[in-house]
Amino acid sequence: MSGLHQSPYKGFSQEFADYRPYMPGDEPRRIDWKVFARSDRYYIKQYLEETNLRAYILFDISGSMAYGDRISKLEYAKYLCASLAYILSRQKDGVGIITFDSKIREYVPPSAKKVNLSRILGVIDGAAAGGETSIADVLGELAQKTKRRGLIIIVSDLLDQPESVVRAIRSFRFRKHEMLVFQVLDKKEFSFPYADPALFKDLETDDEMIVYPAAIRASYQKHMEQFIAFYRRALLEVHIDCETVFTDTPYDQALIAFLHKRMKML
Amino acid sequence: MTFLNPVYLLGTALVAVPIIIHFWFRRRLKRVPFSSLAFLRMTEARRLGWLKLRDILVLALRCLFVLFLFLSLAKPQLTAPWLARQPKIPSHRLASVIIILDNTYSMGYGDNFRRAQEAARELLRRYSPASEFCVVPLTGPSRPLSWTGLNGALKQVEACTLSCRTGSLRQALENIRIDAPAYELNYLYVGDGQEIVFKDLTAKALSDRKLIWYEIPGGGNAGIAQVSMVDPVSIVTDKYQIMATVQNHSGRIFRGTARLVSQEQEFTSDLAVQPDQSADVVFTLPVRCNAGTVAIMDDDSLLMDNEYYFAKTVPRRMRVLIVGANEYLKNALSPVSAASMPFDVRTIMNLKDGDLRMQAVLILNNVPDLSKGDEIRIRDFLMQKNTGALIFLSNDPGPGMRRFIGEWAAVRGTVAPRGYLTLDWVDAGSPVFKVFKNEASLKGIRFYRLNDLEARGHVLARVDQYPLIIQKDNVCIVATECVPGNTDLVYRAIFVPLLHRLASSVVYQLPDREYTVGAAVDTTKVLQGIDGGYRLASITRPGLYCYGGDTIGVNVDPAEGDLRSIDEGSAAQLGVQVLRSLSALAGIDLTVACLMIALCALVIEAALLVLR
Repeated sequence: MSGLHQSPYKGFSQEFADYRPYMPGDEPRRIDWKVFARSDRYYIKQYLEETNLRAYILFDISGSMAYGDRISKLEYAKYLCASLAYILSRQKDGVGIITFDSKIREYVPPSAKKVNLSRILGVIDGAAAGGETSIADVLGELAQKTKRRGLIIIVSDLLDQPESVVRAIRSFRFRKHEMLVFQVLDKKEFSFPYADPALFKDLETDDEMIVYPAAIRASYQKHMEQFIAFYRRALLEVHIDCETVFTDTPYDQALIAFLHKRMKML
Repeated sequence: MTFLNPVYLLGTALVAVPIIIHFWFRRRLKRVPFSSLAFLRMTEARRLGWLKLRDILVLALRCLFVLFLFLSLAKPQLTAPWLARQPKIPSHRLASVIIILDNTYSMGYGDNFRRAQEAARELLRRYSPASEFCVVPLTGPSRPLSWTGLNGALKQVEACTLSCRTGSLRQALENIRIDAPAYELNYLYVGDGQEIVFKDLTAKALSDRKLIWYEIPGGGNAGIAQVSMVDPVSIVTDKYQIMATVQNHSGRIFRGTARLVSQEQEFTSDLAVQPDQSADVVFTLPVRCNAGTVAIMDDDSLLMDNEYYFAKTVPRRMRVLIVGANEYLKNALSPVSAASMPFDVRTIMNLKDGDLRMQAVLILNNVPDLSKGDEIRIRDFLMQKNTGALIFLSNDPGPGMRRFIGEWAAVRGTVAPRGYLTLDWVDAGSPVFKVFKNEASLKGIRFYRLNDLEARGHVLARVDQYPLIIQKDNVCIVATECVPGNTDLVYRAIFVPLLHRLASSVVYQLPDREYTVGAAVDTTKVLQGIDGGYRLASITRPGLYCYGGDTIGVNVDPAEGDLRSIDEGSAAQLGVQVLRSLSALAGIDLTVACLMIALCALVIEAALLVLR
């Protein structure tokens, strides 16, 4: 057994968990005959399945992640992903990373080996922002690669079609995956502090448009609030934590929040 | 459409500037990389249409502003014929132009004369340079004129100077003596169009001349119309009063100060004059201050008509010789105190006994007849300076007396009513009776006997229909002797003052010592009994002038102070077309409209920029 995480699935292992009455369809070989001898009833012994956690870190490297003032969202996400990978690796859990924009760019399968961490860090370090985001497509593609249930951590600004993203995340959740979403945003994206009219350029599509910030600030902020609130509400319905972190949030706070939530899962 | 300053139309090319700036600004827009435009599009979507429209509107308004600003500077004139109410002078028209430039004193108000000169130049330039021109100053003398070219006419306008005289348009038109015109005659008058200028001008006098009057609007004015002695015949020993009549020609109340300066002494008096009214200011002066200047302080006036030059002859103590016994006369005129009474009276019974030299007033009382020698002596006496005669006719005067007084009155008979007649009319405006105006004491004075005279001079008083007092020059005829048998006047309170005034009035005829600039004065008549001869016609500036020891004040014509013009209706009746602005020559002035559009564009643009 390796890894600190207890598997939530009960199966074959050496650590006894509990008894339960035999139900038709259970394998007869799992009946505890000693208990039967004592109680004349059929019970089945249950064991904690002690397996390595297979964690996938989905790292959004789309063009929008390049946005940021002092530190870009990509840089912030890099540190966050590296920290998560390190923590999981230190817990002897298998951790892999997937960088994506509109499709998967890099894929490091989960492994608890030390060398895997180096590969992951290498991938993170070499990640460069570019391309459009399509989280739903990426999650669909990932579904093909993850046969076993695991922990999927999405680090992204989620600047995509919210409905399709939520639908894709929910489908993962229905397949018993644990999900954790870090929505990385820059404060300026929220407060929109620009004053003068300017030509705004979309980092993903290179589209340009003249924007009069003062005229639309209030409306923009309202849309942004609705956007964040939508993710939180939609994901909370399927018991998925969505942690919105701004690039000025210290990493330890973000990670503590993550760890605190994971404690509940143990 | 025409433009008075077409050079400014070049500025309309600057319309391109806002367009260039607009696109340059778009190119110079700061590029901001942003994570996603999705939300911006969502928020801008509703406003994007409006913002694009606003951008276009702002650009259009800026272009409009520049365009109409320069259009307004170019002074556009709408020249549609159906729009023009004012007279038009088509550009570059070939004509024979006579331009009458008003240089009367009233044009000295503000910078009116300079404006008139500028207007005259503009009017001249409007014609073809090949036209022939003649510039006639309104106050100019009658002289042969000749046609000149444009440059010559412009020089004549420049050379024309403001005059202190008044002028008449009719006179000016009649004085124009010039060769036959080569082209159609055009008469232009540039001036303030005072009523006095148009005085006597009739449509008939204009005949078929078409006169265009370019109006230079006059202003408000308060001026001194006259300075006179309050009581010109009273004999004063130390002080006398003079009165300045201030006429307010403007439509607002004049409040100011009147100041009199004479013999280095200054007297001031505050005054307020209602619009279009006059007010009198009285100054009490020492006798020695007999000439000087009265001025009123007012910025909004002509300069010289509110500075009036005056010179007054103050009555002096004089010698009176009474011929004929009449205690009433003697007592009335004899001094009680030599210091206070103005007369030094002597009485003789026969004219032959008297020495007329050194006498001022000769009173013939009840002298039945005059010999030829007496008549000559009296006439010689009356020819002298500051002398006069007062004649109380006897009942039924003799032929010598009748012949002598024939110049002033003719005796038709004797009036002896059964009862009495009363004094029922006096000339209250005459200096003699001026002070008795409204005095009840004049009423009911009885006359029992008097001569029936045919007046050949000015009648000062009548008894019933019969002239009682007749005055002409320095002789005064009274139709009866002042004795109780003829009248009860001798018992009346007014007898002494009336006698004083009659005696004074014959000596001091007080000709109006103030003249106007350039007035044609009949020197012989005016200066009779004073001394010398004045040639006032040569005086061109107001002021105090000394001739032979006398001082006279010369002023501008008081009528010149009235700056009111004749109204357009009166001008139209005369067939005079009124032109109020040079721009109207070309048509309706659109300058203000263009300026307003430019300003509106600016305001709307500002509002659009604020309205986000």
